[in-house]
Amino acid sequence: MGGLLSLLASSLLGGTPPAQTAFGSAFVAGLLAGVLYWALPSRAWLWAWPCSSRRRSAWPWPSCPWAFVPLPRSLMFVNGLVAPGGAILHSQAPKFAGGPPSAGGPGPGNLLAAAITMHDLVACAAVVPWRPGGRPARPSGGTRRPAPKPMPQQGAVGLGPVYDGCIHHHWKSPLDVVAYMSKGWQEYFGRPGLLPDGGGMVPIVSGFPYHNPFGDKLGELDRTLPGIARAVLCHDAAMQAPALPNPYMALEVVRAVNRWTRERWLDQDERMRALILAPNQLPAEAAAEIRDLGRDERFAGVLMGSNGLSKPFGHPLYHPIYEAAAEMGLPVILHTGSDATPDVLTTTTAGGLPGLYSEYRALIAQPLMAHVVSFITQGVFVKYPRLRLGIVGAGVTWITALLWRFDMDYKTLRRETPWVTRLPSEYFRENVRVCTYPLDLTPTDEKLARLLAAVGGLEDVLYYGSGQPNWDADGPDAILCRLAPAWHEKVMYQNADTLFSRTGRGAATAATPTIAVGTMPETGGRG
Amino acid sequence: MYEGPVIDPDVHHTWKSEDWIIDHLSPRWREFARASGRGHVPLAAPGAHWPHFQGANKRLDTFPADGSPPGADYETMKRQLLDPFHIERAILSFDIGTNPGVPNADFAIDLCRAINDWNVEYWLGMGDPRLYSAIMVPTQTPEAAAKEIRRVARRSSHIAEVLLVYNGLGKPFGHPAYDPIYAAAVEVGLPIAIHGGGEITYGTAKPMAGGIVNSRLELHTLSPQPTLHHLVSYITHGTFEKFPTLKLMLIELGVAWIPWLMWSLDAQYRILRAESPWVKRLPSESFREHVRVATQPCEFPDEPQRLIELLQCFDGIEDLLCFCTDYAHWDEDDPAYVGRRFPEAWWPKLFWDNAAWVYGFDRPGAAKAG
Repeated sequence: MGGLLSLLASSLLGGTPPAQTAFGSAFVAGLLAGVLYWALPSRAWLWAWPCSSRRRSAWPWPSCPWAFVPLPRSLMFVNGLVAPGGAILHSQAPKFAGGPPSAGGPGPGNLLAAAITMHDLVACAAVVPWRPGGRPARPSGGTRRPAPKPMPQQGAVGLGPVYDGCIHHHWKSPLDVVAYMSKGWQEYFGRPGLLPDGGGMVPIVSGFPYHNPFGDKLGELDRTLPGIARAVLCHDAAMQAPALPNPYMALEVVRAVNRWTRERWLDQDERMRALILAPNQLPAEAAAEIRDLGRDERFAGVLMGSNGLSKPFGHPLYHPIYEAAAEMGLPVILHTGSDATPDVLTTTTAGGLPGLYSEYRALIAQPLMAHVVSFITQGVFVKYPRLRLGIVGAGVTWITALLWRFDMDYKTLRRETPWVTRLPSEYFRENVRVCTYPLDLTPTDEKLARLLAAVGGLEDVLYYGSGQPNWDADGPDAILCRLAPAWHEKVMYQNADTLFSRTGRGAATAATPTIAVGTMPETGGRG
Repeated sequence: MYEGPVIDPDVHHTWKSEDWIIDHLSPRWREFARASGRGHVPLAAPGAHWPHFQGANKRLDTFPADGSPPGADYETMKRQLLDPFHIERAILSFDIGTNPGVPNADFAIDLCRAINDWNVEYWLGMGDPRLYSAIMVPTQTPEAAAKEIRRVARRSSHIAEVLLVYNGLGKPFGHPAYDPIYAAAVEVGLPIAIHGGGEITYGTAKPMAGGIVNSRLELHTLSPQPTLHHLVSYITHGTFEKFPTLKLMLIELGVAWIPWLMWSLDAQYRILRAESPWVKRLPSESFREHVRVATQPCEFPDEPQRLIELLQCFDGIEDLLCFCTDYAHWDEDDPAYVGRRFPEAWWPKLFWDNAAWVYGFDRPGAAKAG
């Protein structure tokens, strides 16, 4: 192909064909590469790459040193024009000068053109970095991950049913949700177009401060859920509603979101389950909402959402919510982002606020770690021993360090919370489940396995969630590739199925703890 | 059992009486400190109330017989720490150095100056060659902090580091507002040490994400969080690119976080490059090149080998860890306890080489070239 084009080019340009063929090939290839690189969205390269369907862990170090040559696409385009342009000028130079043809000798113009062309070729080739083993990898973090390929059909060899513990459903227009509010609130929120500039509607949730510069979403959520046996609707921006400054507005928005979820999602697809969004700023109302909606079996859990009272979620203020959840046999789910909106007094990181999305993102587990520690230490599982807690959106590698430190500190600092009678890690393993989304990228898959093995027993803790359609969503194959086959059945289905089924209903409040939460009994100085 | 010399980068020392510090204040601030006539204005801002059992966060046997606070008496420290554990270099780093957090920024500048003068005269003037110490800096005013670093570094050859504890601007320490401090540290050739715990003090950033927790157990479990953010911010804001010779010692946050945090930063590499004009290398490479981590409190699970297995996931980890005791705090580590849980091959690096690289110490007894 390149040869043909170069022949064509050299015949158009004149001169001696054999002498110009080499340059012709080079500059035509350079032109093609430059134009392609400029014109195609970055994701297209992934689709073009032959082996990308089986996605492996992407790791950002370049196996080829040019892989991160920072060439903007526009510059590539210019290069694509300059390189052949340089060659043309040089080959035509003798004509303009009136001298004999140079017969394609390596003049400075040729060298420049060849150099630019080679640079383009190399940089273009490096757009898809590959690892020394020759296996293609996803480009690192910021690149939008490709939408998961359709799953092989159930029953295919080695692949059972998949329970997707987290998909993010969102409204096309906020008016979809407002339609489920009272007339008064509908009037209050207004509608777009009431003002000359197209405004006129009050936003129903607040803004979020951190955004991936390459885009937060892969696109719309694929409602057909290819290859998925069950999926849990975990909300998207709606999870910021519980902390809205006006508590009654928060309540109305949350209630409308829940009813919109029931009618516009659950009623449409029997494979779907949903989380009840809790208006956690008003715990009594939240408990009532859980008891009301919880009668519908398709609601499979309670989502705390944004931190409405600006206290760690184990704080006793929140316990009425957990009592209702335990009574209905529903797990409580915490999702990242609960402590990042302008409506909460808590912070999304310790030690100051992050300046960059990547900074926020690297520390994304911090508030969730605080909430888990708070849940266990403030005796939520002592009061409601069958209550289960799901953690979503922070990956899994933080678990090891947290559990070890928590156990170590418990041995010396437990005097203040005497109702915590077992090691924190025991409560964790019994009551807490962690969603794989987004499964942490590690230098090799083997390192992920070693990290998880160090703390041990996580095959009973982790459950799969895709996180669709967020930019860092994981298709089932991304998990299957990276976790040991012995874990697949539990992680891909069983653990989520157990978490979201109503196994503990009613029995939850029956236990009487040895030491009641909030009491300070005498120990006779034993500490 | 490791028999060689030990560097201890985390030894808490203090004054026997606050009058010692007040006497070192300039006349104007001395008058201010004693203006009330009864006692004096506090020399530190209050910390949030996460009390220890019976109010002591120290080993009970470290209280000196003369009634002074733990860490104030040299003889007690010598008997309990320096002599028995073969500590050849102890980096005295205050208890815990949140004094720059007094709300009055001008007072904070003079207070830091007084504390540094007292420290150089009293502790470093004592004549024990094993004692090294830190510069306390007024972090609310980075330019004044830079001046103080240049001033104190000239006063004693036993100044080993610039200590950051109180986060004066409520921003992670990598924020460019703090750059004058790093410029001065690099200029005088001192490493930066960040000791956890400064965020508990009034008037700065939050000590944990997600809200103020309710008990000491929760606080202490989450206490590495601010320092981890400081580390991340050094990389995202390019502090190591701006100051290529800067060395950083992280103290009192344990070690088990290293793989997950570094890998999650590396995984953001492309976003980082888009967001930050400074990031030129993988974050874990900058980390390996510039940062060392003190081990205390070392998170040993019931089977200590599991911690080693975790750490070995991170290539070259044995070059990054530095033993420290955290004398005289309640959760102090001792060299035997830590040593027997780490592979023997790591001992020389763990107890000496890695910290010696940070502080520029020569191994005692080693023949000097030339």
